[in-house]
Amino acid sequence: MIDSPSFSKTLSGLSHFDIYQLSEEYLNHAHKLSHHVSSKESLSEYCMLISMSIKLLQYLKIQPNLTLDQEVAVTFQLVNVLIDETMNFDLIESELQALKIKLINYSNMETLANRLRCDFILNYQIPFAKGNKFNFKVALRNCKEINQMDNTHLPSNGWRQLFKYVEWALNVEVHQKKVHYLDLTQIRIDGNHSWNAFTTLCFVNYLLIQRLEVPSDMEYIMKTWEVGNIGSKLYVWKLILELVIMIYKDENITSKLNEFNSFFKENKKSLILNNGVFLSVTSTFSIRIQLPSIFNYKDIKNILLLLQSVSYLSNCYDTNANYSTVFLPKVLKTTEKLMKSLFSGDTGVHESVRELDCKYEWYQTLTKTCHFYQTWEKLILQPSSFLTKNLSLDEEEKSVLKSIALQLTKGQEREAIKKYNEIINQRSMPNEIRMFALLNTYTILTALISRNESRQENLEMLGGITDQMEKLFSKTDLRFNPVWHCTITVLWILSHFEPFTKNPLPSTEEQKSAYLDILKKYYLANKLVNADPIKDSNLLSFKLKKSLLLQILINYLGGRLFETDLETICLLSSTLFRISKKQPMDSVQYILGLWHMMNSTVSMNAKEIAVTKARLESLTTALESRSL
Amino acid sequence: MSSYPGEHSNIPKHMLEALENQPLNHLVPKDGLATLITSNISLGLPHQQNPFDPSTASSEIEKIEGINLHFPEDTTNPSNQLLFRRPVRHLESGGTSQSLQFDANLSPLAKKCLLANNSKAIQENIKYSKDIKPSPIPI
Repeated sequence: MIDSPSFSKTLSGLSHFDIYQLSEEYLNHAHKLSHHVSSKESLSEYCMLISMSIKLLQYLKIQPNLTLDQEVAVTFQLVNVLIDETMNFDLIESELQALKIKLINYSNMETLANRLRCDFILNYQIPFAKGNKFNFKVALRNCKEINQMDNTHLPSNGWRQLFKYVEWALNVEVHQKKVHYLDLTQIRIDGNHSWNAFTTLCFVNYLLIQRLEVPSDMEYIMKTWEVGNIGSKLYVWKLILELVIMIYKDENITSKLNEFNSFFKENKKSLILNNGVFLSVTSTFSIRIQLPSIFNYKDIKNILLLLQSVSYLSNCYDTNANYSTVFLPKVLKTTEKLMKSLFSGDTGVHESVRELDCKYEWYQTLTKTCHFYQTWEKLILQPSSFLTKNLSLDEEEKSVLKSIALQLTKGQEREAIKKYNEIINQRSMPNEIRMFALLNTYTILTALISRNESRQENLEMLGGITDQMEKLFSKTDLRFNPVWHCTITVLWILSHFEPFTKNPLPSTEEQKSAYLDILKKYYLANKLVNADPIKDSNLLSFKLKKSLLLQILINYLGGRLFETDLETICLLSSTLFRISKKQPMDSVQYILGLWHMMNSTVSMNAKEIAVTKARLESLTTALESRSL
Repeated sequence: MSSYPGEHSNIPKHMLEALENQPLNHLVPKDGLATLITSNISLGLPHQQNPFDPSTASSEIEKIEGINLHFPEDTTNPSNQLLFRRPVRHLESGGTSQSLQFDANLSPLAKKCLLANNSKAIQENIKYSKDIKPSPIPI
C-alpha cells in the first residue's frame, strides 16, 4: 500500500468521483487500444495505462472519508483489474483478506454477501488464474469449510449453490483421475433458469470431455429449455452439445442442423455482439460468463462447419457428398480471418490484452484441430502419400498417426503392434485412441495367425488384447456408437469363421450364433442390394452412417453368410467390387474381385468372368509391385 | 477355378489378411471436440460502477489550477511493483515497432496526470511474468 505522508497533498481539488472516473478512463482507453499491442513497446505503453488506473484506485482506497460501500466497491474494482491484467496474486489476496476482516464487524445481508464475494474470488478466480495444483488443493479445503457453514453464514438463496458448484469444479482439477458427478438437484436455484441451465451445461460438457455417458434424464431436461428462459447464448451452447452427442454416436445430424437454422432465423441478432452472459446468482450478485468459442455468431458458424466436417469425414470418398473436403479449408480460412480481426479493432468489443491473447490461442488450437482432420482425410483418400512430418500436432495425435503409418507399410506390422501397444498402455491417452489402437492390433494379430506367423506368440498377445478391448469398451461411451459396435462384431466374425481366415480362433456355438445374430441385423439394416424398407423399428438402430470400408465388410460378410440366391449374390459381389475402387483398398478389392469371379463362374457369365479377370490382373500387378 | 490372377503370389486370399495393412480409418477420432468448446470459458465478476456521488464531479477540471497530479512511486516495497502477464503471441521488438500513441484521445486531465507522473519511468519499471496462463478454465 502506498502510504507516503506526502500523498494526501496530491490530487487535491479532484473529488473522489473524479479520481474514480479518471481511473476508468485509463482502463477503458487501454482496452480500446489493446488490439494494437503488437510490439514490446506498445505492450509497455498499454501496461502503463493500466498501472495508472490501478494506482488511482489504490490512492482512492486510502482516502480517509470513504463510506464502507465505497471502500468495498473500490476494492472490488481494483481486484478485478489486478486479476485481469496482472499476476500480483499476493497483492490481490491481501486486499481481499483485509476487506473480509473489516467486514466482520458489520453484520447485515449486504456485508455477508460482500464477504462471500471475497471468498468466491479467493477460492475460484484466483486458483484458476494461477492454475497450479497446490492452490487448487488449498482452495478446495477452504471451499469445503465454507460449505459446512449454516444458513445464516451461507444462505441458500444462491450462495450455497454457487459454492457447491465451485467445490465440484475444484474437485475436478485436484483429483483429475476420478470422475466427479455434480448433483444438479442440490445446485438448483428455484426459478433461476439461467443458473440451472448453466450448471447443467457445464456438467454435460464435462461428461462429454471424459467420454462418459450423458444420462438420458439430463438430455430430456435440456430438451425442455426455451430461448426465452435461458437466453440465446446458453441455448446455442445447449444445441452444440446436443450436436456433439449425436456426432459421438455417429448419428445422422441433418435434423439438428435444421434446428440450428430455425434458431438462427429468430436469434441471430442477439448473437452478433458478444459481451458474455450475465447470470444473476442472487438478487444482488451476478457473475459474467464468457465463452468466446460459441457466444458469437461468426464463431458458431465456424465451429458448426468443423463439426459437420467431422461428422461427414468418413464420406469423403464420395465426390457428391465430400463435405469435409470442402468445409475444412473454409474453416481454416475463416479462422485465419477471425484471428486477424482480433487485431484490427473492428469487433466492437473492448477487452484486455489477456482476453485477446486467450482468443488468439484458441484459434490456434482450432487450426491444429482442422489440420488433424485433414490428415485423417488423407489417410482415407491417399494412404500411400500419408506422411506425418511437417505437421504441428499434439503428442497423442503424433503417436497414433505414426502407428497408422507403420501399419500401412508392408513388413512393418511388428513395429506397428509395438507402437499401438505403447498407446494402449498409456493410461493418460484418451480412451477412444486406445480403443482404436486395440482394434487395429487385434486385426493385425488375427491376420498374422491366419497366415500362420508365430502362432503361439500372437495367440498369447491376442488374449490380453481381447481382454482389454472388452474392459475398455464397457467403460467408454463408444458402446453407444453403432459404428464401433458393428466394427467389433465384424472383426470377431472375420477372425472366427472360415473362409475369412485360414485359422479361425476357437469359440463356442453359442458365441457364434450370438455374433451371427448381431451381424445379420447390421446386414439387413445396411444392405446395398435388394434392400427391403426397414419396417421393424428395432432394426432402425442398426442403420449405420455411411463409410465405405465398413459398408463393404458388412455386405461381404452378410452376402457370404446369409444370401442363398445366386442372382442376388452376383449382383452383390459386382456392386462391392465396383464401389471398392472409390477409396484406396487394393487388398480388399482383390478379394472382392476373386469372390465375384467365383460367382460369375458358377452362374456361367462369361463376359463378367473376362472383365473381372482383366481387372484382377492389373490389381495383381499393382499389389505385387508395391511389396517389392 | 482353374487359375486366377495372383494365384501364386503372396497377395492375401482371405479378407482378414487383407485388413492387415488396412487401418480402420472409418473410426474417426472425435475426442477433442467437446474440449474445444469450453477450453476458453471464463467466469468473472462484472464491472463495479462508480460508487461516488456524481454531483461532486468537478465541472471544469481542465481549468483547475494548482493540482499536484503526482503520486510517488513506492519502490521500496516489492509487493507494490506490478507484474504484468506476457502475452502468448509473438511480439516484435526493435525500431520499426509501432507506438500506441496512447495519449491521442485522452482527456486533458488524463494527459496532464500522465505527464506529472513520469510515465517513462513507470514503463521502465514494468515487469512481465515468465509463465503464461491466458484464462481461468473451470472445466
